[in-house]
Amino acid sequence: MGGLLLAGCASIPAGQRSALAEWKPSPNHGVRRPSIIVLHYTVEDTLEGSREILSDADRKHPVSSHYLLDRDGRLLQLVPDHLAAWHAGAGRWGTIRDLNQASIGIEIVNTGSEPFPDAQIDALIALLADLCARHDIPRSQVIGHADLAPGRKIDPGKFFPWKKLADAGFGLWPQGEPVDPPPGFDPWMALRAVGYPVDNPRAALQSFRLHFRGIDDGDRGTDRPDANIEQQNAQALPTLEPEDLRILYALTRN
Amino acid sequence: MRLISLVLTAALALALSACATAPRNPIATWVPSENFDVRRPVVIVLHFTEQDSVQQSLDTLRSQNSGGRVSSHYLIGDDGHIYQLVSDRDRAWHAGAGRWGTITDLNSASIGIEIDNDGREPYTEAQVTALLKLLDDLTTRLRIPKSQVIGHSDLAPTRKVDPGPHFPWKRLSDAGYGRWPQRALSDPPPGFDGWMAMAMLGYSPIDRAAVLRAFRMHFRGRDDGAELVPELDAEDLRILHALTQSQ
Repeated sequence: MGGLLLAGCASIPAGQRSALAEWKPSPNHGVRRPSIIVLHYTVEDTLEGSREILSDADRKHPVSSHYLLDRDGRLLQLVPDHLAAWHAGAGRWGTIRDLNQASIGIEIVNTGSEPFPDAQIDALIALLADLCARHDIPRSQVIGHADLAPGRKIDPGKFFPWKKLADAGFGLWPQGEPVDPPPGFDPWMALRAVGYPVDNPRAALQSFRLHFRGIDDGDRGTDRPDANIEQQNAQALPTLEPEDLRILYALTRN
Repeated sequence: MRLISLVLTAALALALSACATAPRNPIATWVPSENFDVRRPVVIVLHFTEQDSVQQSLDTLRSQNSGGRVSSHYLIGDDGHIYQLVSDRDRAWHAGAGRWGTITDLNSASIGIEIDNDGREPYTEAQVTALLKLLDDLTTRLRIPKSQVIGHSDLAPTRKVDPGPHFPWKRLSDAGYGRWPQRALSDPPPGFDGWMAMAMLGYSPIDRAAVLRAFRMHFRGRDDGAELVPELDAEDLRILHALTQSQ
């Protein structure tokens, strides 16, 4: 543990070096900072229960997040901002292939089947303002776990108030009056341009609708995504609704 | 031995107390979890030094310059000798302002490699061989996907032209690094939006002429200069279409 703690401290010289290179140290360097923020819900009903899970080093797959936010706005920090917490898992968002390395993870106490109280969202917005200011993170760089891991994750879920975050200036949201895209508009390329991995098209569409329409295709039955990428057939791309197309077109013109 | 151990312990304690307080956020209650790592880079950025000698670059990258302090993790001489200046876990100052897709702070997310080249000459065989070895080492040790290798001009097309039109991207691709069309080129379907494909690859849509110049240096080995007409030709579209066919 001591070694790991020390490794986060820029003043300790024992770092990662290549055996292929001659070491000619330069003083011109700093500490790697996060450049994106990922939001989760805990599923677990209580703050204390969630904290125990996020601090348990003996689980088969240990997990953590930088922050844990209770329903009443109480905020815990579990991992320092400059280190990588273990919250994102496999997934990608645009050119970021390993989200844990580049992100701050915020776990929000919520079972997934309830609305988020105002006190909690107000505290979240205050935390986002703090993080974006201190680490120079563009305010648009706030996403959900489901966005980076479609088919595997659906948090922070259909109840999460992305519009309210957008009104406070955070995250991605269509700007201006939504209009129909021109003929030839390729929504699958648009989804990829926004950041979504589309290896599993149905799952990507589910994550997109959770985020921008507050709709869970899982509830609609017929569109349940198949997590097994191998079984996906490229011929069977799901059809986007006109509202999906308008939102995507607006997002790619932001 | 005992004295050395005591001194070491004291130094460690000092270092720990020096940095243990800094990273905590005052608006939160601190309840530490042991489940974390040091942040690893997720992309590799290639540069040319635009200088005449590796010694001159070693000075620039390790001192306080009039133009501001800069650095890179690695520097490769024209004889293939590799220098490391900054630890892989630290943030070197090579990329500056720019973005590559959803990566908005390239210095924080990358390893920077400077290659000793004045910007007007071909890269030497020894240099490219050394670079390929270094890329193999970095992608293995730091678990960076091999496709995640870009040029400085890709992330900062309005400001930078390195590693320039002489850089052998095709050869890197043959060795498995970077992005390159993976199939024979063919015309894209009608309605194919080349500029959206550019954005999907990672190019920032701020200045089309600058983006197209950077794209052509990377994928066509030609520099059309700052005054080029920002219109995609048939070959640009074929390359872009092929690039969008792989994830």
